[in-house]
Parts: sequence; C-alpha cells; structure tokens
Amino acid sequence: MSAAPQVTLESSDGEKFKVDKEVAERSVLIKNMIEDVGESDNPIPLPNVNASVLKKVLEYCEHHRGDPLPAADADPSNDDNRKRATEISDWDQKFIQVDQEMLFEIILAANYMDIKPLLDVGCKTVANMIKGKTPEEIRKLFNIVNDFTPEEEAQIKKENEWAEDR
Amino acid sequence: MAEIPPEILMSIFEWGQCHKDLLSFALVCRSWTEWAIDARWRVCEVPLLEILTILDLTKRSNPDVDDDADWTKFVAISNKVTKVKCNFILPTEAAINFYERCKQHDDDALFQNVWELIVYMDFTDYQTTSIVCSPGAPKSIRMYVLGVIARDTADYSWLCQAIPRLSLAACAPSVESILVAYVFARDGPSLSRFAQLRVLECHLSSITLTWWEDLATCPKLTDLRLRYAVDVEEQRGWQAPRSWPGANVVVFPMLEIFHHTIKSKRVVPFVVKSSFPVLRHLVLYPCPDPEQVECITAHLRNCSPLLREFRSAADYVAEE
Repeated sequence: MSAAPQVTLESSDGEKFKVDKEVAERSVLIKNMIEDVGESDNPIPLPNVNASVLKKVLEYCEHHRGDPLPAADADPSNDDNRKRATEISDWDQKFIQVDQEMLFEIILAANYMDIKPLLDVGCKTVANMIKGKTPEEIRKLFNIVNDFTPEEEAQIKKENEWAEDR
Repeated sequence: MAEIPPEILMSIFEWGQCHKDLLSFALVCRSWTEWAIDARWRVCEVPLLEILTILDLTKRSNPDVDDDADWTKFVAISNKVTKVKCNFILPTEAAINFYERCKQHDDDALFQNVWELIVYMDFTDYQTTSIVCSPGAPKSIRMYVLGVIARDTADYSWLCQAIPRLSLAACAPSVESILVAYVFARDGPSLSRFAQLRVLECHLSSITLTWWEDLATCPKLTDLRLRYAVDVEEQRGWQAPRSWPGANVVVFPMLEIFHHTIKSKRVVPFVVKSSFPVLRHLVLYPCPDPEQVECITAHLRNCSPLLREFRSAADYVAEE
C-alpha cells in the first residue's frame, strides 16, 4: 500500500477516481484547487470531463508523474527546448493513438484541466495529421464544410501569394 | 471539429511550421482563416523584405496625411512576427523613407515580439538588420555566412570589412542567445555589449581572440557550445581570458574530422576548464576520445557547481 496522499476526482457523469495527489497535480487546475481549498476528503468535481476521457487523462498523468514541471516562462529561444518540443515520445505516441473524437476530447480536457504537456501532445498530433494536406483533404478528414465563396477563396490566395512556395 | 475553441486552433496551428501548411489551413473554412494567417506570422521565419513590402517605401513621409493605412498594418504585422530573416540590402532611399516615417509616427514599438533574428551576413547590411532591433527585441540572433568555404581567412577580407557593421549589440542589448555559423572574421560582434547573453554557440567559425576575451565580460553566460571551432590552436600566444572568473580554456588535440570541409584548417574542440560559476551546459562537437571526455567531465563537475549537462556529441553525426 502506498502512503502517498490521495485525492478523489469526480467526472461529469459522476464516476469517482481515487489517485495519488502527485498524479492529480499534473493538472494545474486541480493543483490550484487543492491549494485554494486545502486538503479535503470531498471529491473534486470536473464537470467538463466524462469518465472515459478522465480515465485516459489520468493514465497520462500517472505515466508522467515524475516529469519535471514545465517552466512557466519556457524560453522559446533555447534550441534544445524547441527540438525536444517538436518530437513526441514513443509512449505518448502510443497513448494518443485513439479515434478522432477521443483525441479532441483529450485536447479539450487537457485545455480545461491545464495540463500543458498533454495539450501539446494532442495539438502536435492533430498538426501532424493535417500537415502537407490540401484544404480539401483536411475538410474530408474532419468533416468540415467549405463555407467560402469562390471570391473569398481567391482573395485569401491572392493576399497570401508569397506563402505558396515556401 | 467545428466547435474547437480558437485558443486550441491556435495551439494546433502553431505546430504547422511552414508557410505552405498554414496557407492550406487558412483555406479550409472561414473559422480557420484568421487563426492560420495569424499563426503564419507568429510561427514562420518571415523575410524582413516581406514585412517591409507592406509599406510603400517609395513614399516620402508626409505629416499632412492622416490616413496612413499601410503604416498601421505594418506596425501590427511587425509586432506579430517572432522570427525575422534578413537577407537583402535595403536601398538607401528606401531606408531614408523608412526612418523618416518612423520619426513621423514616433513609433518605437516595432518588432516587439521578435526573439530571433536570422542574419545572412553576406546578403544583408547593418542598416537593414537594425530595423528589427527595437528595444526589447530580439532575444536571439543567428548569424550565417552561407556557401562560402575559403582556403584561407585572407579570402575573407571583403567579409571582414562587412562584419564590423554588424555590431548589433548597440541596438539589440537584450540578446540572450547568439549562434554564429560559418563566420570567419577578425571582428565579430562586440560581445562585451551583450550584457544579457546566456548562450553562445559557434559552428565552424573562426573568431578572433578579442572575441573570446570579450566573453569574459558577459556575466550571464551559462551555455557555451562550440561545434568544430577552428583555428584556435593556431593562434599564437593565445591564453585564456584572465578576467573570465577563474576560468581556463584548454585546447584539446585536434581531431581528424571535417578536413574535407575545411581543408587547410585543423579542427580543435576546446573546453572551458576550471570554475565557471554560472555555467550550466557545455556541449562539445565533435567529441574528444573517451578518456579525455572522462577527464573533462570529472574536472568540470568539480569546478562548476551549476553544470547540469555535459554532452560530448557522439550523437552529432546522427543529429546531422
């Protein structure tokens, strides 16, 4: 049995998850809530996250429990930071291999719960899915309707002409 | 997907790293356009010329004209971009017009978010690059001389004359990181004026001794990366800068690497030895033999209390 302090989280559909405080605190939202409210036995409600998504998010937090917390003022000019940032680790890659709906649910949950590294993994994954694709291919992929008039489309192309061959 | 909030769309688009991708994203649907175009300015390396062409630089300043739409647009874009590439020379007349219009608008707040200035030294001039160097920007400079490999530094005399003009420190005092590549110069930028410099990285560069002595006056330097620094050993009478707090610099025997690139030069990796009070990272390219690495590491660990990362780049080849 672990002696580590634990907290209970409650998903939008009422399911309760008991996890180590250290794991839950990968979420800045939860960390701040615990700091504000103090230690309590009451479950922490997460009204924007359902059980299946929360389970997945907690799996991520559990795996990354020991990681150093990202610096609040991460320095973009540091090459190493940048390089590390564009890669997705093997574990994360496997973790994020889910259907499209779940992928967006995870991204929304990471955004809401303020788990920056998970948000990055999700956004990078979507970015990788759409990189190198034509607008039509992207629309098909995500079921998006083309709501441009031909004139609008031509206008955007014209204004951004110089971007085309770079 | 349609309900994705804008802040998440922005986070996704920020990982699209080329102009072409971001233009494709902009053409997907209306709700994507604004964010994709915005991301393009913020994420991509944007040539300074592209930003300046927003302005009609044939236009003289004219205080009587209230409506200066292109200036307003230029200011907005200049404050969005984060990486600016300088690889052209601004004609004198255009430069005069530009500076006059700056004066007319009394607008110092240009290029406030630029943290990286990429300078192709053989394609630009001080005048052009300094446009980007308003207070607060940039934090990082990459300088390249591209496509020039000479047998001898004498071949660079034309370049040596050009480089003093690039003493960017005067107008970019907040620079924290400099990468110098392929610069063979008697006179690099005056380091002593970069009081905020934290990272200095040199790739295949031959920089004069005054440069290194200058380094002693950079109190915040924490990260020194030397990739194939050439020429150092050949400098006679070269000694570690004395004013560098407690530091010695040791030149290690040359490695027979890279001769195919710089034929007449011997490549010497060298390393900072002894206590360097704030040094946190040291990367050596290429790596000396393992025994030396062992010796350097042991020494540095003892003497540099904050050194967290020592990497001799056995991974260098893979990285390239």
